[in-house]
Amino acid sequence: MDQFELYKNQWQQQQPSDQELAIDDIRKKAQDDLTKHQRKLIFSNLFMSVSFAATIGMMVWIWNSMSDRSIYFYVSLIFIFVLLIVFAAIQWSGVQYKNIKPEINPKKFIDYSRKKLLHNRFTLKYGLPVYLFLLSAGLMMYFQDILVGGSLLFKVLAYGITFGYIIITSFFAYKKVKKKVKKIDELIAHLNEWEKIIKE
Amino acid sequence: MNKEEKEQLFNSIVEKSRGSIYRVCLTYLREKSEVDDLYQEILIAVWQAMERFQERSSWNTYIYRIAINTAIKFNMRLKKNEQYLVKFEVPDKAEEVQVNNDEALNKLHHCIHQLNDSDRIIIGLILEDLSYKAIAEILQTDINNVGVKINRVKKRLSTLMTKNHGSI
Repeated sequence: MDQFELYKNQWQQQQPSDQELAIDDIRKKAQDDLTKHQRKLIFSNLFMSVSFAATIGMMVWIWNSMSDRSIYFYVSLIFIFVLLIVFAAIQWSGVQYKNIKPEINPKKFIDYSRKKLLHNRFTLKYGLPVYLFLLSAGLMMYFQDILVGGSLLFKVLAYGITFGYIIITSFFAYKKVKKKVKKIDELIAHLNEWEKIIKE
Repeated sequence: MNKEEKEQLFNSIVEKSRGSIYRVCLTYLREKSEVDDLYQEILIAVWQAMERFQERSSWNTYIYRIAINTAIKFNMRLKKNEQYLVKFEVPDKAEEVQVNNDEALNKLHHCIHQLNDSDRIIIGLILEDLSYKAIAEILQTDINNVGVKINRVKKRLSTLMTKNHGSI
């Protein structure tokens, strides 16, 4: 008998034990998994949309009820508005990659998984700087308005504490993001390797 | 498909394919607990995908494709969550690979796990005695290319077996 036939015979002797085959549990888990996943997706998106709508509503009310503020105040509101919209857009754009069907063509599966990873990579890499820029710009504008008439010490403290906190948090967040991006790159390389095997 | 029909179909699929699904897990992962988790995850994926079967391929091809895609997804999740898995190292000796009590099988496992991820999936399909045509259909790739890859992976495994253990 050919050596490889021996390997095949040895290999095919392996069977899962009966304990590993709790079909009823699997059926139940599959059903739970499906409904739990759908419910989670619907609730998180709904919650985000409602919260953002409420926040934007509140901002419109503040805008209308405070007609005597400086231009900086309104610009800060615009920055917060853009921040919310950008965040919501990122969240919604990720929804399309939530359900990759496992029975699809492996090439498509790899392509889809890679797109999902690239989306995460893009969000991580560019989302943080955009978020920090909008947050800092918004806060700066806000301070320009509310700190008018305040003492120099108070202004220095307000700016120093706020932006000091943002800089320190950004430093640690950047390190975390760098690690995550590296991990995503490893996963993309893993998928590329797979694709090479199928396509080559 | 009503609930009863679905359950009957699932039972017959599992009855027929449980061994091959389990062995797909064994080629891809080494840790027993992870093999069991992946095995369960594949069965869950099969249950969820059953109603989407459109008879464009055989059930066997459909199940293997689900198993492989789920294994890739599972492994990626492991790599994403666990730092140590990226640096996973195969033990130097087959005796340290305690997959089961069969020494020859442990040697085979030891060498399979020295192959890279994609080669392990291919070898898993070869060891299931699937034809080139069936493997090409599962991976949806050209049959001639599959032939070249299969020969390459088979040769790689045989070399590892001879180098490490002589033969089984």
